[in-house]
Amino acid sequence: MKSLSANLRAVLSSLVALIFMLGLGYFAWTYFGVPEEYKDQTIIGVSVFTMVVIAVLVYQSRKVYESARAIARGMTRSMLEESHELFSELYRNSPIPYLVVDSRGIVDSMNVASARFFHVELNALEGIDIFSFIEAEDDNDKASRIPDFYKQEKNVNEVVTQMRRPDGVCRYVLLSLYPFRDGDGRKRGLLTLVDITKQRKIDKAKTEFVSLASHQLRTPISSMKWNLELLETAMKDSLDENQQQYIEKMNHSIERMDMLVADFLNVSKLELGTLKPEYTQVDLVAFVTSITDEYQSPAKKKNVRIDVNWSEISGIVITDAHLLHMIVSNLIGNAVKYTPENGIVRVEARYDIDHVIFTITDNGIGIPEDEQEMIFTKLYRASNAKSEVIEGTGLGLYVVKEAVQVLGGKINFTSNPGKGTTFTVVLPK
Amino acid sequence: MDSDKKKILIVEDEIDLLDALATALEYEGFEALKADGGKKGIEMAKDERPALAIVDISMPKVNGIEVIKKYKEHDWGKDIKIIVMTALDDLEKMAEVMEAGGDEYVVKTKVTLGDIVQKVKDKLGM
Repeated sequence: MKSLSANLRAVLSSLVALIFMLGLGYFAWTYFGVPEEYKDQTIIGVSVFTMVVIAVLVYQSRKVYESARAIARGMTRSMLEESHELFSELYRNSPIPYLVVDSRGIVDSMNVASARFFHVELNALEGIDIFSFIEAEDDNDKASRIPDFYKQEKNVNEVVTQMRRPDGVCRYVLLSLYPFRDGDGRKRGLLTLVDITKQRKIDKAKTEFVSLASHQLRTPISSMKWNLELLETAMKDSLDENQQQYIEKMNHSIERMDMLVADFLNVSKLELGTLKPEYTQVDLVAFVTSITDEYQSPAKKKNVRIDVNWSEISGIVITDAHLLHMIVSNLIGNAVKYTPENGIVRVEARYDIDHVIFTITDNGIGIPEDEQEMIFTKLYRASNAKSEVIEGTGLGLYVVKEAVQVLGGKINFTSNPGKGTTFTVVLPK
Repeated sequence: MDSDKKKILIVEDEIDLLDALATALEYEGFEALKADGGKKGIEMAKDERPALAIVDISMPKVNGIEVIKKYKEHDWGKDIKIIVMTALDDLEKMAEVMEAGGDEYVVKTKVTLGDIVQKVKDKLGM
């Protein structure tokens, strides 16, 4: 087959020849004229010549087209081969375990990293159902629905699950499964695994440490509190004024220690990143009522009234009980703490379509305007808070804000110094 | 033993807290029974048939949820009123606790002995 350039040259030459001959003919006809008796022959001759040249042109053009197509095919084949080579190398040698499965989840092929992950020889899993290695926790676990998602040709993106290897060892992974159609239109899936066992162990160790610290610190605090209460009760008729003051100070210190431990542990959880929301069903009224009950004692000591309004809420919400406790408890605690004697704290909750909205209002000391931007900052206490109320770590509102963010909610407030503050928290339900 | 005194069983593995609770209840005229673990809490409930049990959630070996479930499974235990004690870290278990049969819960570090005694009296209609 002639090359593309040779065919193109032939087409150009024919075109030039045609244009030249037609031009020459026109010139001769116009300037020299053609005798009357030769006019018909001249026209026929020119027409035949033109048709021949056009036929040659069409033939040459077709040749050009075929050459171009052949070159394009060649290029495409070459590009495809290169691309296939590159993909094969990536697939084979990637540090990420890859497996290709058929429409039922049976392994078609696997790479070196997946053989390493499963602790088997390369290709040892071919012909085996990959879903049989998944260790879902229970039927509600997302991992148990992976085969169904795959059947429906839905992407599975980074589901955390356990895989039990053929040697019986379990590993935590991020599993992704992407269905696709191969060149013959058959359904296939590309499965990837990212081994996160080490990170899980570290997270678990962090959580256990914080939990242990929490329990070990809080138990002696509870013990001191209750035994001091017993001492007060047993000696209430025989304590002089000074002794009563000593006991009062001890109570204060215990409460302060309890608050510090709670705040530091909450901040630790937030900053260690171990505070991942664990959503459970929460009976909202019962839950939040119990939190307000916690603050009835300190409120009564100052003759502060806590008014609650749950009339617009009922039933179950799906949330993280721990984080919800952090938010509501800190806000009510602050309201009681910064409200002077004989004050009122109002706690309300209501729903809109997708949210539960808490409003905590006090008629306490308020927040100075020039300090309002800073109050969610870690360890920040407003100047009037420091001067009027001794206890406080400056961590409470920081913890509230972080907890609200973890739950995907919003918090804002309005405050008038000397008149009071209203916090509004909007949380998804 | 004064048979008019209502029996309150305390199931708590921390001895200091167990003793403090028992003292406070006895001071208010109750008969306080002490179980320093979940297994003993089940055995004593079966033997003594208390009117109410104060059960700590987080105990080693047999935890509070298992204790409550055991009470509810048997005739000797199903009528025992139950106040659950929890630390703040156990809050996510509360739904499970209430489903198992807990009547109310208190957070140990937030509640006084007086509060607990009052809740006992309220639950018993006193």
